[in-house]
Amino acid sequence: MSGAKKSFYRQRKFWLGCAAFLAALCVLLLVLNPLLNHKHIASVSLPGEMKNAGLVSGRASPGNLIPPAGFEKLAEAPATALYADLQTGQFIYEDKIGGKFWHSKPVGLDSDEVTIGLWKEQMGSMLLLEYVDMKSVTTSIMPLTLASSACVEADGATFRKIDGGFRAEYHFEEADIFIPMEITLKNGALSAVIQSGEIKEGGDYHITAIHVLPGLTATDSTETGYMLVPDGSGAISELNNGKGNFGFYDRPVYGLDESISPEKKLLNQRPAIFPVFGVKTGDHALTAIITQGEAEANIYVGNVKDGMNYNQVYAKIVTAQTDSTTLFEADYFNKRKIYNVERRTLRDRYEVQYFPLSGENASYTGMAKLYQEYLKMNGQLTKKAREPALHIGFYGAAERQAWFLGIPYDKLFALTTYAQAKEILDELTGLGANRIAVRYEGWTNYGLQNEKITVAAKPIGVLGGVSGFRWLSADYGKSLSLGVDFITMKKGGRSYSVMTDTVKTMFNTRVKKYDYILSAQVTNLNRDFWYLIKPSRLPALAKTFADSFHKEAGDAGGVYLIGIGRFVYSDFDKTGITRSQTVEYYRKAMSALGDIPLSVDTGNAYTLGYADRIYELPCTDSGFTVFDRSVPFAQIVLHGYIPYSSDDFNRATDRRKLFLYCMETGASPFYAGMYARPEILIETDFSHLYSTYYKDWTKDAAQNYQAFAAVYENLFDKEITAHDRLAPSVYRTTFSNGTKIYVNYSGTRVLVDGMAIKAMDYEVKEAAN
Amino acid sequence: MNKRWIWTAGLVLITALILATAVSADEGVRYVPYSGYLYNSYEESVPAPVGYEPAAVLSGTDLGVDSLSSPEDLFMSPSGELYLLDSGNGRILVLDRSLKLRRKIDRFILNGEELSITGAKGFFVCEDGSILIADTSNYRVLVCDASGNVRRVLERPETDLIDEMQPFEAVKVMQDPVRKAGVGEQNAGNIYVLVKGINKGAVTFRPDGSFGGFYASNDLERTAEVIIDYIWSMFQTEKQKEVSKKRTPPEITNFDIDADGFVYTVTETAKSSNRTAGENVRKINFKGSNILKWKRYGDYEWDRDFKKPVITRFVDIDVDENGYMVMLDAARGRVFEYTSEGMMVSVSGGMGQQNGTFLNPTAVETGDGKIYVTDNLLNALVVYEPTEYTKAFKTAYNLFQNGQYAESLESWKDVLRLSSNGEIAYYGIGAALAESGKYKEALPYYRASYSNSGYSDAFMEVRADFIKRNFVLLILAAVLLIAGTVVLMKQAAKRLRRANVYSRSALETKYTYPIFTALHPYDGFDQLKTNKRFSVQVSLMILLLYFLAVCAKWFFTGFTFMDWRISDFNILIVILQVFGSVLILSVSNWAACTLIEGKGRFKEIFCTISYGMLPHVVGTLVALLLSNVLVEKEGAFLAFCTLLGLVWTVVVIVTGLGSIHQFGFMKNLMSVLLTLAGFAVILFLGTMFFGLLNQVREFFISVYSELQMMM
Repeated sequence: MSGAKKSFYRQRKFWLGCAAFLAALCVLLLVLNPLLNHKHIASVSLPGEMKNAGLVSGRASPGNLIPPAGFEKLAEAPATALYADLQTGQFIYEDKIGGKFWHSKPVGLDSDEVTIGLWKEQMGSMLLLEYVDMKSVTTSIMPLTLASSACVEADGATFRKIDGGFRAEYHFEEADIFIPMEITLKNGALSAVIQSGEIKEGGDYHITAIHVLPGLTATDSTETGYMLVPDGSGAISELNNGKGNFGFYDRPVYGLDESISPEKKLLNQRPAIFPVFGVKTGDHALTAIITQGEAEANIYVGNVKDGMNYNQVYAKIVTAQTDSTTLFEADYFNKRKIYNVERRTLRDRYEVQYFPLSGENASYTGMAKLYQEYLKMNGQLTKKAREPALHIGFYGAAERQAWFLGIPYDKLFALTTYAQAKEILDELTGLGANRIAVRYEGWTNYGLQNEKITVAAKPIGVLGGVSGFRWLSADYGKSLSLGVDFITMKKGGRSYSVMTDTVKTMFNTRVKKYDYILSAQVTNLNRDFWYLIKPSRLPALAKTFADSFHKEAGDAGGVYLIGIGRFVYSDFDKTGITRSQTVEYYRKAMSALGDIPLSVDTGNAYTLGYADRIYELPCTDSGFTVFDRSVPFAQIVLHGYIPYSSDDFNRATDRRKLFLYCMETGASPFYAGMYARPEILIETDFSHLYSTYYKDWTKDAAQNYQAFAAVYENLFDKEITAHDRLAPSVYRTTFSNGTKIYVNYSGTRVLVDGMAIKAMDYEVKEAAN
Repeated sequence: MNKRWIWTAGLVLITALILATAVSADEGVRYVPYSGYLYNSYEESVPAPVGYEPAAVLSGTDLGVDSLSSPEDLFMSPSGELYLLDSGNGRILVLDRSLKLRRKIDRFILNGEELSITGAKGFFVCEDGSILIADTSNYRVLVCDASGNVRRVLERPETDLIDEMQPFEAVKVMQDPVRKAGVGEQNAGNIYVLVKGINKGAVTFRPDGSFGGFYASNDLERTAEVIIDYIWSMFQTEKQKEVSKKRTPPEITNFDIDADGFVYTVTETAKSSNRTAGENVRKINFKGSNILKWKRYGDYEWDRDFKKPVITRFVDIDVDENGYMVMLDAARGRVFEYTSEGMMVSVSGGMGQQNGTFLNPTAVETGDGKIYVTDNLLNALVVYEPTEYTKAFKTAYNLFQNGQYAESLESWKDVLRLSSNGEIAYYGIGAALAESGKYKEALPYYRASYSNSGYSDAFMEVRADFIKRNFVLLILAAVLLIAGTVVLMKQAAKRLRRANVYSRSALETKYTYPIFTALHPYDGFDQLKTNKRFSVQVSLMILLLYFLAVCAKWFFTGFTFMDWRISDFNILIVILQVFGSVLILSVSNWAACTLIEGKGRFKEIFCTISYGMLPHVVGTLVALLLSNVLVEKEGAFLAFCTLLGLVWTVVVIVTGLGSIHQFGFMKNLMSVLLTLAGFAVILFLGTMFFGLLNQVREFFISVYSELQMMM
């Protein structure tokens, strides 16, 4: 019996066991289902296909780091995770591959004895609010208050889970302001979103700025690394560089608002052309991209200083700009300065996304490659690279005052006629510049400065008329980008009037832009001023121009949009146009130009999807004292995709150094000049165009071009894969085909990588085959 | 194997050396945040290249110490060592050529007791390495050796010239170099101290420590200004008085001494209400007088905000071995460079948070072509390096000063290429060409540099040459001209005689009456009045001629005598000058003479004055013609010509008016005085009226803008 019975029982037990096991498995699966089927796990590692960029190195090592008590995991992705403490609203962003926790509140903050007072509160905050008391806004001081979310009373701050992360809601009692922020994991990246439509402002208080996550990217005085900001070409502030007491950096993305005219001339500065910033500490880095609402964001950088033990770099959303004006200006004793604040209903969604990098990629090159991937994914960067060309800028015509029987009038006179332009280009070709890209400013309308807005692409008589233009474009048409200014005008006309089509200031007066007197730094009232057209008119204007271009100047190679790549401006009148909306109008205008090849200058990020060439991509940062040096961040992002030129050689203080920069970063040399002798401009509004006479630079230009082209003939379509500072003043750029270029800016010969590089010289090392 | 080690060692060594010798700032392409400018001959700022670009901003840590605290002064020794007075930390840092710390002097010992120099605002390093410190907070000057051992303490001298309640706040100190026997020997070794509150000049101590009086005081202002100020102060409110300048000589702010013993002083000018803010920089000789050509240094454009010239507050000056003067303006953070003659070379710098700008600059020094500036809010040392423009300029200028004019020509062309707005380069080329005998080519360059005297000298040569070459032709032309004129006049006289058979003079026709009255004013005007032959048409014709003459003079005067700018032409002013003045004079005269019972009617008065203008018009035209052929030295002819015309006109008008009003001599004189008084009153009322109108207009504009804002 035992044998047969045993086998049967065993059979039944066995099957029961199996059934039980399967049942248990099912139960387990059901329980674990939400986690396993989480959206983010199903998606690819880092945003989109970024892993192809070689950013993800090494293997994921999840679970090596343990979050502190109180933090629960809210979301996870293959390479990152989000933990949050829903009691305090603090969170941790985990970089699994690099093995690093990024804390929203610096780890040692509570026990930090160096950082004092308000700064301590601010460092522990998720956001900081700047607001004004609207009742007292117009008098002598702007009554700005800076409030920290960390100081919001427990009952004023709520945190709850949402899909992918959590939502924080702060109620700032003293100002009766309600502001929500959502922190989620989005395709592996950390996303901080402020839906400004949900902000409620009770009472008389109006928010002017929101500082986003100051603590997340903060580093303390024990860490080594640097902070990166795209100021100009890009600037680096090394952590704890001792310059925190010199000052800080707080500038808008895409540059200062042109509709706000400072009463005193400001120092020259470059715009922050990309909405990116980052911090590197040790072998880890965090790159931030302001993905929505970037035109209204500032980037703030501060270094360790007295009473503040942290280096900071973060985004600041400016929800209301401020302006000042002087009443009774003529009366010295009674004049009053008053202020005003932009008033608009907030509707926009602001988002900042953070991406971790580690190892070799934790550098400004890695950050640049990450931003490059981002742009490619969004269709803003496509391969448009062209063979190296000498970039030239011509000044066409300008107006000056002349007299007829003692009566003054404005007379247009030529600086470079079409025939003369051809002559200069012939000379350059003869000297060896076989490829030239020309931007021709002031070739139409009223020359260099618009009287009436430009609507047509018609050659003008003083420069040679239609026949003269044909003469030029017959040989050089394809190289020409005809300059057009759609933004400024001195008076109404051509169906655009001052009353209805120009922007206003916050004081309901029309924006009038003046030149400044260089010594006194006040506005020069002896010169004409100009208005700025409403951004909403730009698309229609561009369309009209495009039609005219096809008819009258079709053999020209393209259009050069003056100003659009360099600044953004608002309209502060009743209906108002925000900076973000202006950027949209810019985009629409560039689209309206259809398939006409476009060039811009400076290269603000919104032009990248439309521009085929960028003139004067900044070669330096603005030199703010808190920074240590500039880095060619912009060049690393763009090289191999869009052709770009250097700064104007004719305005450089040291031309040899600028040439070395061209060799280092693949920027084509650029010279802007004219045929007439610059003396002709003395006592005109254009006297700043000295040192432009063509005979003074054509030889230099051709020589520099030839040296540049010899090297970049094979490199123009290759990406930059590495950029290193081997020693102060000695740099090495590595391209995707293995070629390395070494540049030595110092006055002494150096020896690096087994190569000797002479003083103020460069060397090229092809990849070993 | 060995080779590889050697290579590696070599690499490491060289890299280390590079890192060691380099200042911790990179030498890549630099961004210049300030815009350079120069002043043209019309005192307007025009764009120009900057003279210096920022090379480094060095904090204390960069220099090898902990942070700086209020660096107040700098000194560059002849051997190339840079001394920095780190005032807040009470120490002196000595840096070598590459700005690495060579040594610190932070202990100052006097007889075993340690002294503190915290708060010292100035110092000086003598030729033998000893250091003078203006120990400001302790009211004394310390004389130390190179290691900080105090050898002598100088305190307020006992003298009647210094109030004993005056605290001896020494801010700057300097020593006159010991030099060979000869000029200035009596000053050798003197120590000069600038003391806050003492405006009699620098307190002088002789080498033995005794008081030696005051040196280099600023002048009291001129008497006329003092009187005018006094009169104004009677009308001003308290607030306005505060804005007015004080009436004591300003204190010297800082000084420097060059190798020859010339002392350069800078003064923060408090002169705010007038435009002649001169003497803020002086070069003092041994006797204490200023030998710099009087000139305004710094900014002098009109600052609309403050209704006065842009204020320049010079806080330091340094003179390099070639005599170039570099001055530091703390008001706008600017560094000005001038040649030894006082010509502006460049302006650099500004206030801000970018490299090369300042928060509060305190001292400047030059060395090896570079410029060093300390800033006591930034607590840093800023290093400037010369740009291509400065280097080109100095090359050209130095050649020029040495008399190598031909060589300097090429260098000036380089300068011109970099800065086409700078008048100096044009002048340099013009002078270079002139010196080489190419006078004709030099003319347009002198014109471009607005140099009347240069143009005049070159023109003189060109003219002489022209006359020499065309002597015969000129004689011929002159003869023809004279003959032609005589013939024409005879013809005219015959014709007139035929038309005018009955009158005494051929000139008594409608259109030639003005000529007649110019020659016989009393009779002429009397006849016109009696015969009622005054013609408004002719008057207007003469005034029109006057108008054209003034316009022509503006545009066509020879450059030698043109000290105005053609583009400043304002047709309204000319109309006012020509028609306005005649009308107002007529009205005034008519009003005045009505009072004293003159017999002239308004039409007669107007016509008299107009007719009388003829000599002046002719004089203007002749002067205009002459100005195109004369040179500066012959300017007297021109003045004479114009004066003659003017005086003649005055005589004709006065006589004429007396004639038509039928006044005797005394009454005529009185009427003239009354007319002039009336003219002044009308002018005054007119100006006031327009001023008030302007005020009203501005009021409405302000109201309008306020309304706009409220909408």
